[in-house]
Amino acid sequence: MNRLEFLTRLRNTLEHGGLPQNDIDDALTYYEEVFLDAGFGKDEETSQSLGSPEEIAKGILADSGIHPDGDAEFLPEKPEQGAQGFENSSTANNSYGNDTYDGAQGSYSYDANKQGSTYSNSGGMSTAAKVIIIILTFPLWIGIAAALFGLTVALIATAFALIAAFAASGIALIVYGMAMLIKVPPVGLCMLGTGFILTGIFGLILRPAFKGLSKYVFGGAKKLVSWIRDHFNR
Amino acid sequence: MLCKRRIAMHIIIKERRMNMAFSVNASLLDAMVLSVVKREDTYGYEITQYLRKAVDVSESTLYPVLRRLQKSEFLETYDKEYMGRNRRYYKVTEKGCDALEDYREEWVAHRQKVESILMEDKGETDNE
Repeated sequence: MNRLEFLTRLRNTLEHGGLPQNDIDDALTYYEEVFLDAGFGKDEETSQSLGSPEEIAKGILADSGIHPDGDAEFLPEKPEQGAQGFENSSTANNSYGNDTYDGAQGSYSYDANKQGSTYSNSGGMSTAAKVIIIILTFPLWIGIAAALFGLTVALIATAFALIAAFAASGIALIVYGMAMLIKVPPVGLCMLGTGFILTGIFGLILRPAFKGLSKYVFGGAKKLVSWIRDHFNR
Repeated sequence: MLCKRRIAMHIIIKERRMNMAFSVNASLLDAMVLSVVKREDTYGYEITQYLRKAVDVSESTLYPVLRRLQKSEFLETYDKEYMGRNRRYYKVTEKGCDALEDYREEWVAHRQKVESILMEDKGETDNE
């Protein structure tokens, strides 16, 4: 591959990845200079030692936070960038795993030292952190919370509908029974009786029961809210 | 048996990696480049050639390093004419000098720690 082909392929891949124009120019200036400094007629040799222009472009894109395949959520792996083999004069005869030094890289990394203080106050969790955790874990609890909420609403609605049904049918039977009393007295009496019984049930049993139930439900909700508030204020 | 296989593997790795058993990480490369440029202002190709005396790097390894150092304002560039074209020269900033000093201190400390384990039965003095 000659210089022109190499640089063209590099430019194409960088442009395809959407790198800003001045970054593309910077990279191309650098690589063009490499070819020129390597000497005339050494294009093949140089491009071979550089490696594939597509791979280089991928590395540059990754450094700029662009995933080469167009994935928006991608973080560049900066600490590993440019890792290469090296030989220390004192350890020339030892052949251990290639990643031996990587394990200790934080200890002499300049940047890591500067950033170190940012992570040091992770001891006590703040309210904001708790809120963030609760928000982030919402897929876990949202289902249960929604189910509980739905169940509560359904129970209240059922109780309410039951009471309304008793009241409505009781009153309707009394009214219709009075009308029937004139036309067909026995049926009218029967209807009136049933109507009174239903209204009585509504009045005597269900309404107080509903009152107690609603008190219990609202009291429970209040307790839940204050429990959550206490939990945050702790 | 296993040991033999591991040794064989290491020989292969060694040959492939030009006898370099340990990897150089990004911070170490940053530090070395700063050190090379601090000697005198120089350009990309020459930095690579100089580093090759010690580590197996190519120009494509060096590019992200130089970019990173420029972004951190440890290095700055200027163009100088050479044979009818412009050559980009690199120069260490004051911030870069400070960083290099820090790197050097860290390296000495790190080397001592590694050698305190790696060179335990060899004695501390005969490995320089």
